[in-house]
Amino acid sequence: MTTLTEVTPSFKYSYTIGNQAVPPAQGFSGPVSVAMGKDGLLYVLCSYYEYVPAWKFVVKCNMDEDYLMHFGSYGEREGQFTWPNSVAVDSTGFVHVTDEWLNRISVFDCDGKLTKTWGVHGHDKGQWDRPAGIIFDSDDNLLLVDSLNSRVQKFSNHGEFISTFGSFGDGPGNLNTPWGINLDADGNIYVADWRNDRIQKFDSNGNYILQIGSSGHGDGGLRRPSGVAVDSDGYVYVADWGHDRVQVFDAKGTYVDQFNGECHGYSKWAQARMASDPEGMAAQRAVVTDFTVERVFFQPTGIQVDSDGRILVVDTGRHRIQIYEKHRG
Amino acid sequence: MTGYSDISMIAHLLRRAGFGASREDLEYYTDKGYEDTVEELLNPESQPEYEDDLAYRYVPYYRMGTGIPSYQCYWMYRMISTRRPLEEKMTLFWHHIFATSHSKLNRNPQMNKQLQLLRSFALGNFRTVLIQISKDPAMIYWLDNCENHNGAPNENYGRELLELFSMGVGMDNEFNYSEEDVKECARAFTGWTMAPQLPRYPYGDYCWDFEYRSDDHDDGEKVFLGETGRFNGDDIVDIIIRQPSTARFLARHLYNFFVSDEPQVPSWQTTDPENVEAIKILEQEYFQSNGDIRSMLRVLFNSEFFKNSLYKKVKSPAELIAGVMRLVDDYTSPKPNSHEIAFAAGYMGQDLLNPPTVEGWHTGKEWIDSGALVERVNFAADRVGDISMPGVQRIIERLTTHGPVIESGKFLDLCLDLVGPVEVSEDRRSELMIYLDKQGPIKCGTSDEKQVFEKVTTGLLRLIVASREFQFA
Repeated sequence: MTTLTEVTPSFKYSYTIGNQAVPPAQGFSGPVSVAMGKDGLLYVLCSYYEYVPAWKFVVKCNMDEDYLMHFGSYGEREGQFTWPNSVAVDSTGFVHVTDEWLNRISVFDCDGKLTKTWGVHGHDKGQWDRPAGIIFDSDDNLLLVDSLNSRVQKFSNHGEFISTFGSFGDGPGNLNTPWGINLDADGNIYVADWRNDRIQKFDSNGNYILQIGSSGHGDGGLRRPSGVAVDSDGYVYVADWGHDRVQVFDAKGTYVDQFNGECHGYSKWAQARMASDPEGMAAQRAVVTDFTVERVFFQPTGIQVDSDGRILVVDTGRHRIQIYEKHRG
Repeated sequence: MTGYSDISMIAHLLRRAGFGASREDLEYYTDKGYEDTVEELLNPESQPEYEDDLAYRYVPYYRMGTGIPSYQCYWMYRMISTRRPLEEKMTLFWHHIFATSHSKLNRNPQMNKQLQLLRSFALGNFRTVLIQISKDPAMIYWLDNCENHNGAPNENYGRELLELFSMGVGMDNEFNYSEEDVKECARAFTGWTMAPQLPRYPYGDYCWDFEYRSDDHDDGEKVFLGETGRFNGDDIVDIIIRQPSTARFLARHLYNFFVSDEPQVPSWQTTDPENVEAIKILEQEYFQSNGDIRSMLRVLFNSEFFKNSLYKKVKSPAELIAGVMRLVDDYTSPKPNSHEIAFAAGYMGQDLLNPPTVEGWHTGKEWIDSGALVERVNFAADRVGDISMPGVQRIIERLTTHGPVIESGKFLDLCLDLVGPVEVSEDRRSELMIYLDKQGPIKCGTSDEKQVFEKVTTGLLRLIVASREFQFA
C-alpha cells in the first residue's frame, strides 16, 4: 500500500508594488481591491480621502510595477466614485467598479474611458443595496455581493439578472454584511462573510458547502474578513482585515498558515520617492532600529492569486500590494 | 426643586454629559429616570462598544489617514453616533485641558492615538490621567520633553504640567508653586521620551512609542513642593495629586465644562469660583475618592447646582454641531462627506486637534463673535430646514398627530418642545409668533396642506435654532 503524504506548503514574501501617492504621482492611496487583466495587467482600486477629490481612483499598472495610467475621482457624477468597493475585469478587458454609496457599477474600457453605469437600489431581485465584491465566472457572468441585502446575485455581463442566493443571519448559508467574493478552479464560490467572521463556500449554484474560519483571534480565528482568494491547489487565502494578517486554509477549511507582511526593501515607486529626498529620509531612518512596523500589513483588504500562483495582498493602510509565493514543502 | 419637567432635566443632562439627543432618546431616558440615566452615562461599558469596524469599512481613512482631517472627521462622527456619550464628552474635556495640536506634531495618527488615550482614561483616576499623559508621545513632542535631558533640562512640560494640567498658577490670591518647583519638576521628567520613528513616506505614517531612558534621567535629589527625594516623574505626580490646589483646579475645570461658564483659566488665581460651595463639594469628593473622576461626576450630575444650571453655558462648536446632527438624526451611521460637518467646527472657532495654544480654547461667551455666530446659525438652520433629515421628518410626524388644525401658540410650544425642549424669552416668543401669524391657519389635514405644513414647520425650526437661546446648553 502506498501512502501519499501531503506536504504543507510554505509562503514566502516576494516583492512589493506601490507606495503612498496620489495621481499624477506614481502610487496608491488606500488601495482596497485589485483585479488582473491579461499579460500581467493590474487594476488597483483606491478609496481614500473624501475631502480632496483626487483621492478615489483606479491605477492601471502591471506586475513589473510600470505605472500606466489612472482614472476616476471622488464624487457622484458619471465616472466618479464615492464609496468604491471592488474592481473586476471581464473576459473582454472591461473594468467594472462597484460603489456602495451610489449603488451602481461603473464600467470602463481598458483605457479608463467610462462606457456604462448601471444598477438600481432596492431589495427585489436584480436590485441591490450596497454592492461590494464582484467577480466574473468562466461564462463571463458577474457575481456580485449584495451586501446589505445579505445575498449574492448573478448577472449576465449585459446586466440581466440570472439568480441569487443567501439571506440574512448567522447560520449556514446566511450572510451578514458580506464583502469580498472569489471563485476556485471548479467554479465554487467563496464569500467573505464579513460581520459573521467567516468565509463561506458555495457551489456554482449557490448551495452551501463549507464554512472556513470562525470568530476568534488564534490560528483560524477571523475578525471581519474582507477578501478571499483560492489557488489552483485549493488553498484558500483570507484577508483577515481586523487582525491585519492573511490566513491560509486548505480545501477542507483546515487552518494551514498565516503571514503578517514582510515588506523588506522598497518598491520601484518607493525607491523613486525616497530618491527625491535622500538626505531627509535617510536621516530619519538612520536612528530607527526596528522596522517591523513598516513591513507588516495594515488593514489588508483585497486579495487575489494570479495565473502563476502568486498571492497579491492589497495592503490598504500601507498603500501597496505585497506579493507572496507558495513553495511546496 | 428645579421647576423643570422631567424631560427638560434629561435633555439638560444629555446636553451637558453628552452631545444632546433625539426626541426618541430623550423619552427613553425620561422613562429610565434621572439617577439611573446618570449611572448609565457614568458606566459607558454598560452600553455596546463603539463599532469602529463599520466606520472603518466605509470610510477607511478614519483609521489610516495621514491627513489631520481624517481624525477630525472620525472624532466628530463618534460624537454624533456614540451610545456612550459621556465617554466621548470626557474625551473632549481632556482635549480642552491637555490641548495638543497637530500643527507642531505633523504626525497625525499620533493625534488619534492621543484621543484613544484620553478616551481610555476618560472617567478614571486623576493620578493615572497625569501619569499616562506624561508618557504620551504626542504630549512629549508637543511640549518638548524629548528635549528634556539630564544636565540640560527643558522646563516646558514641567511648567505646563503644574500650570495647565494639574494645579494652576495659584488660588485664593496665592501662588501654588515656585519657579524652583518648575525646575525640579522638569528634572524629574528627564528621560521620559519616545523612540525614534520612521518618516511618513513611502508607506504612510507611524506612531511613536513611549521610551524611558534611564541613562538620560537626572536621578539626583530634588526638592519639590516642600518634599525632598530622588524623585522621578511618577513621584512628582504623587505629590501633585495630594495638593489642595489640584482638587481646586480639577473641580473648577469640571464645573466650568459641565455646569456654568467661569472666567478663563488664567484668572483663576485671583478670581473666586462662581459657586464656592459647589467647588468645595467637588473638592471634598476628589479627596474622598482619591481623585476618582467618575465619583466627582456622580456628585456633580446629581447636585442641585447642576440641576439648576440650565442654559448657563454657551455651547462649544463641537457641542452645537454634534447636538444638531443628533437632533436631525444625520451621520448617526457612516455616510460620505463627514468633513463638511467636521470642518464646520473649525469655521466656528474650534478646529479640533488644533487648539490655538497649549492653553486650549477660551470658552463661554468667547465662542461667539459675529463671524462664528453666522456660521453657527447657518449650520443649524440648514440642517433643521432640510426635510430629508430623518429627525426633521419625525418632528413633522409628531406634530401632525395633534389634529388637522393646530392653534399657532400651541404649534410654537410643540416645536420648542420637540427641538429641545428650548425655553425662550417672551420677546423671542413674540418674534416667533410674528412668523407664524403670517402663515395663516396651521393645517395638515390634506396632502396640499401637508406640503405647506412642512414648509411652515421647517421655517419655524430654522428660526428657533437661530435664536439666542438655542446657542446655550
